[in-house]
Amino acid sequence: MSLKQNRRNFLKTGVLLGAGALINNNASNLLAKTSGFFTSEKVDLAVVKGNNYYRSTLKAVELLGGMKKFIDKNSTIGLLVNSRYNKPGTYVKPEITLAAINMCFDAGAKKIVSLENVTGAYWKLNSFEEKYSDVIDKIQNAGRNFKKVSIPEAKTLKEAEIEKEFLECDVYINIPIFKQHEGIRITGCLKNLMGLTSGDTNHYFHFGSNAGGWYADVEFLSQCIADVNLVKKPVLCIADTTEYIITNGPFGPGNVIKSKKIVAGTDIVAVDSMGAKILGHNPEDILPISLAHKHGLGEIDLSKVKIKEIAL
Amino acid sequence: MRKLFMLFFIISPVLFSQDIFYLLPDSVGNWVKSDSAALYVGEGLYTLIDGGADIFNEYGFDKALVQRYSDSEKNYIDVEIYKMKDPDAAYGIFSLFTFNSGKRIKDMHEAYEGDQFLLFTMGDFYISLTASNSSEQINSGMVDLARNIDNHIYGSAEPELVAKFKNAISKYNPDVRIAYIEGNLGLYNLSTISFGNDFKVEEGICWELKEVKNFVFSYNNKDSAKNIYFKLIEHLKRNKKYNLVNSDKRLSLFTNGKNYVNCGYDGNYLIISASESKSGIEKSLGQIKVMLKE
Repeated sequence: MSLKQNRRNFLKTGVLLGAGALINNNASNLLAKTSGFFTSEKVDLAVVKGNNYYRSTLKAVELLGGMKKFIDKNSTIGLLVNSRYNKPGTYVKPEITLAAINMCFDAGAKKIVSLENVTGAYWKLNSFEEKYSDVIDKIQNAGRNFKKVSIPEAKTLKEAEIEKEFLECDVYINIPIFKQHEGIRITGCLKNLMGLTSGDTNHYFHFGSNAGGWYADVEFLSQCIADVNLVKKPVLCIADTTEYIITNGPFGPGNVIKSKKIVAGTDIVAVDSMGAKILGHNPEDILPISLAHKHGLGEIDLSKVKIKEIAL
Repeated sequence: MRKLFMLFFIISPVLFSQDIFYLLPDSVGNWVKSDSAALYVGEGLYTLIDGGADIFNEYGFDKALVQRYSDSEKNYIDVEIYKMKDPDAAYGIFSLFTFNSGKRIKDMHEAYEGDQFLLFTMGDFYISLTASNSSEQINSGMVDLARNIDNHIYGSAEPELVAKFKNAISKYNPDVRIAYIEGNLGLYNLSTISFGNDFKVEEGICWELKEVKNFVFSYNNKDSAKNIYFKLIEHLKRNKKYNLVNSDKRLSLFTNGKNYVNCGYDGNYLIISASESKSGIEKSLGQIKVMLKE
């Protein structure tokens, strides 16, 4: 797990801590507000349950140490938000995306690019649109410019046409919704990358093995999904499991479950494993997750992951 | 004259699209039209449902009209009216979306409701209502809106193939749902069996009874059904994931280690059953044979 904690941050936090202790004579309060580096508790995966999804998102990232831990000042952030659908339980709640955007700007991000082109209609899916219209206006859409990349470690997807801005941004944050999927049972962070690949590449995911069917070769499709994730790892994943469909996925409408949970972490496989668990699956049974784990992209065994679960 | 001709071409798609606007009431109870209606014609469907439009086109999509209704508390209900090429197409898309979802609304013809959604079909139309959130008041608003729209549409019938089998299937479970398929995409939405590139659906139905998923595909003639059957069998024999368990002239049973897949043909029909249970499949096959004789 790559955490952005270096010597300079260490000293900066140390000076703050010392000053705080001198001024307040109450170092414990300050300790509670600093990142997990100083607290004994190192959190790999944060799960926050609550009715206010904006607040839950802020809290989840805070439990991991805060956004500054993951992004550098003046950096360009790519946001991969599953925002294409509009039926209940099929898209990331806009307030979750807004919370992520606000945290990025607060942490000093220079530019935020929506890698999958969030549209105006998406923001109308909640009442935050007016309040945060100035923030929304700052988000740039990536367009649809693809670049061919080779993936040497891949097993089936040796090359892919992938969104250029994704390759060029300094870091990217993966913001999926966990929901039922007709073919691979659930979608989450790993599958979200199919929103960045060209139509031809996506066609190869589904039909490249000549099995004859959209989901006729789920193993091949799953391997492609695991492979494409080798191109670039997310610096952070913030996954929406607040309200999700369990039938007619991924488009909906379908039967909706409301778990009201936000899952955040830097390990894409661990986050997807937690999503699988929340949706009632064994992560090992979800092929893209087990194949991504085999690629070394992250931990599938949640007993090996430090999880902090809270309710607001 | 040439200008008039050009004007006709510009105006005509708009004129011919007006025939679904009348379905939208200005208001029903507390629910009032907010935003203007959006019309999607032909390829415009891809703007409305990015990634999900192909299945509508397979059944035969004509146009869609989307209108948002809001109440004073800023809750909203989105109404999407899809005009399909004919009632079979509308029934087909409706049956796919309700195969696993929602509860039947008893006093409407073909309607299902779930948490934050209501789906129904009538005539050439498939109609989807989705709500911003869930409450008794919003749910009853969806039902009222649906009834209002429903009252403006006439003529509804199940596809012939559904009607032919429905009574016989209902004997085993009166609440069983039957999906109507008009192409391969519809089939892929219902099954993850590897059918191979030569498998072609003309028309079919799917239903599930006691964890056995059954398909009956209807073809124009006996030779087509037989031909597709043998192509499927050859494909499954070549496929390393499937092993042939047993086979006779008209039936072949395969397994992939977890599930059994039985394929057979009878007259114009191709029959496929899939289940984890071999005995379940055998029982199902017996039931289908009786249905075909009726």
